[in-house]
Amino acid sequence: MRKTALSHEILMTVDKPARYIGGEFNSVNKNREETDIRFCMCFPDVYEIGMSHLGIQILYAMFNSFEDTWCERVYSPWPDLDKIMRDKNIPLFALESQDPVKEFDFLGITLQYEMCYTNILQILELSQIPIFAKDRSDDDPLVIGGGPCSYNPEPIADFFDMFYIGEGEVSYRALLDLYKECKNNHYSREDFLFKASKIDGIYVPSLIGVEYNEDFTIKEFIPLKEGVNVKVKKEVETNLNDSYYPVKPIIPFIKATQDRITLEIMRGCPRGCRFCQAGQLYRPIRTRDVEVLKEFARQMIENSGYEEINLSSLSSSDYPELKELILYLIDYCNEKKVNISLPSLRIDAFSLDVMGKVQDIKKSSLTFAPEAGSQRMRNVINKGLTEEQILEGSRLAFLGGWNKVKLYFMLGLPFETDEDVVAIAELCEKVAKEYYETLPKEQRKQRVSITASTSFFIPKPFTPFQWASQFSLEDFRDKAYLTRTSIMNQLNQRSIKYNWHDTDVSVLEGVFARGDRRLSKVIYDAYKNGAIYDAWNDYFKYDIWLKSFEENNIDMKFYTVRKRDLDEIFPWDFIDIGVTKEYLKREWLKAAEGKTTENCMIKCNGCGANTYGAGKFCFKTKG
Amino acid sequence: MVLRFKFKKYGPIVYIGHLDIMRFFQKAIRRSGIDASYTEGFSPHLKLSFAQPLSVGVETDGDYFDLEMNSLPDMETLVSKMNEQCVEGIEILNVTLLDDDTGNGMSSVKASDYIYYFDDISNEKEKIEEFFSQDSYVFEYIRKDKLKTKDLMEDIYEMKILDNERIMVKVNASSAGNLKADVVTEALEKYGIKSKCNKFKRRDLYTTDDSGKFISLRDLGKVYD
Repeated sequence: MRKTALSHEILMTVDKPARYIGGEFNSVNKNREETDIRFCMCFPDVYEIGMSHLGIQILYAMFNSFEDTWCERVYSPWPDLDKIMRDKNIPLFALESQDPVKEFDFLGITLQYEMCYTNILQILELSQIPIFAKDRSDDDPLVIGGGPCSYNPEPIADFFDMFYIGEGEVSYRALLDLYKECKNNHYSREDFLFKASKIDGIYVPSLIGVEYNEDFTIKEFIPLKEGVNVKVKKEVETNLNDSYYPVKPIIPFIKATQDRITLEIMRGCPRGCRFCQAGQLYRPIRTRDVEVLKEFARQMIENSGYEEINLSSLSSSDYPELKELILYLIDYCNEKKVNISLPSLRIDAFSLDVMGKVQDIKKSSLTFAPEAGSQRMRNVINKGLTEEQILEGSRLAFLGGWNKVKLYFMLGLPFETDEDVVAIAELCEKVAKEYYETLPKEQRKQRVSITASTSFFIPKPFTPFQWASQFSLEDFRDKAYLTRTSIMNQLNQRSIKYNWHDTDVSVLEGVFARGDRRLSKVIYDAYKNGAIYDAWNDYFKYDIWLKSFEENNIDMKFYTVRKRDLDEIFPWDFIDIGVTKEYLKREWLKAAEGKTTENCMIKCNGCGANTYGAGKFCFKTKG
Repeated sequence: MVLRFKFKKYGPIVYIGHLDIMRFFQKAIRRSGIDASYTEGFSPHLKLSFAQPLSVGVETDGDYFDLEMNSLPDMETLVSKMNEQCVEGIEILNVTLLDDDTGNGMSSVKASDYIYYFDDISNEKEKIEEFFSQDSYVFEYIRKDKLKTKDLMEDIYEMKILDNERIMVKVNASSAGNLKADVVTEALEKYGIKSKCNKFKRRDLYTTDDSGKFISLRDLGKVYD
């Protein structure tokens, strides 16, 4: 019978003990004596969040398809268990075998958002693995990071032995083979890391040094050992049709945040919105064939028992065979009693027809993400959605029976003026007006309900806005206030609800997004002073962070509001994502002029990602 | 047509709450591909009902759920087919094709058997017998920060000493007067039973027939193992 690392008394004390027992349907158990490599995959947040992540399910399926490897999972213990584990000195354990993480060969940590950084230190400390990579011995697991935040790994570089830059499907087998060879030949940790750094996509922070200018901008990257390449190239899965896909997903007992099947239809996005990091990182655009997707959907419905399926991509409306796929799924899912959760689609006759078929119109709402209120601002950010499209889409939806509209905006975009902020309120008003003009009084069953949400823009690496100054906390608050008062000044203000996100976290997120190695110490100190679960409002303690920055004599403004020179070397510039810095610079300058760039399925804009030779939409010649 | 599944639950699975066990079986039923009935509407649901929920941390050899069917699967292979969809620690024991006049599982439950495991009761058997043979035993206990008072003997129907470690107690498990199994251990301790009760598990659930006799929920139709 399976054992538990935690005693009956502890499991009966903590909230949701099912987070810690493993044994879920489709989880994989192997004989530890018959596997050469034990890999523990970690999402540094609570189980329900981590279990909702597709990436880990993909890698879990891939690793466990290797006969010599057993991949298990671990998530952040909730604070109640965290305390017990510290008090009783219980080492953090993997869910499947319930064995201590410190006995593993690898600890792989996915980096999905900046605010999970203190949870990484929690995982390491509870696992009884030295927090700083330099303090680890040959007996400790190799700690490897991956995922979106690994594209600027520098703030957490000191905690990792290596990072995998790019899509995990490509180079892990080579890394594991090298590891086995080194283990058999009793190579040291240092020797293994040096050899690993030769594998495409592998970045070993201890082998690349950073030299700073007097003002703490970066002077250069220097190899710390002979033969080390100071450029790390992103790895890309070139063919999504025969890549690993978790058609037997692990089914959690407790309800995960995403309690449904995720069907990834494509990677990359042709739109080139200038604020969006994912849109650049996941280039080139690659699609899965519609027949492959139909087969995946059938298998996953059969293997999971889930009641809902969700299509995943950055821009589903751009998937070429979307219509065929959705019509097929509607039929198949209807027969199998599975709901379809539609991605946000361009609103037109087809999408409204589909929405009417799969959702209850009375309960569902229409979603637009104009991201900015004025057309001028939408040109700056290259969001190819016009006011006419929003109003026409709303009109069609109102005629179809919808009366709820959600609009998503960002505040604090580069070059934003007060007029652009006021335009958010005006756009909401126009949508409300459209409702009253479209529907005669007798057809209006309820008042129109418009929800405007704003988040604060945070400049991210590898985007045209990586040069932008982030607005200050005070500016953010002023902008939210202006949005609120402008909405209250509208004629239909009673139909418009306004939500905005917290500001303190946005500042910190901005610091880490474009941070450098000097931040490792700040993160360590904040963690030691009690910062943890920073992504959770209830646990986020801004004052701890302020103190930690102060004590380390580091000014947050250096990372956020500082104006960056066009030729500045950024902490992440040693990573090559295919998209060139020259292209991003061109886009930044075009943004300043309010000039737009076309959808790259229509015209190649020469971003550089076509060097991967993947995806049928990348033109071979530069545009 | 309603099928009644009897299942056991042991090992780490006992830490999964009742609602999550229900969700587990919903998915398992869907995966098994049997022709169950669904509700109408935008999000169709299985017509599934569970008998008396069990507290987190407690094993069971006899819990039940009822499932309404459109058509019957091959009954001889159904138990093994369902078990392919289960995990270690959850096992379908048998399935009953309920007689048409059988009431809904939830509301028909009247009693539950629990087995209590002690260190050693060989010297205390008489005292245990004495406790359970009382006509009345008013007991005060605290649950969820509330003081409760109950005459336990009204809700305890039967007790059997099985051996030097185990006793079996049949208690009220109706929706109106369910007696939680741990109240009994607390009362025994207070009564002066020295041997420590290490765990208890549910053995079976019962309803009553017209004459008031207890019948296992399993035995209300044709049983397939």
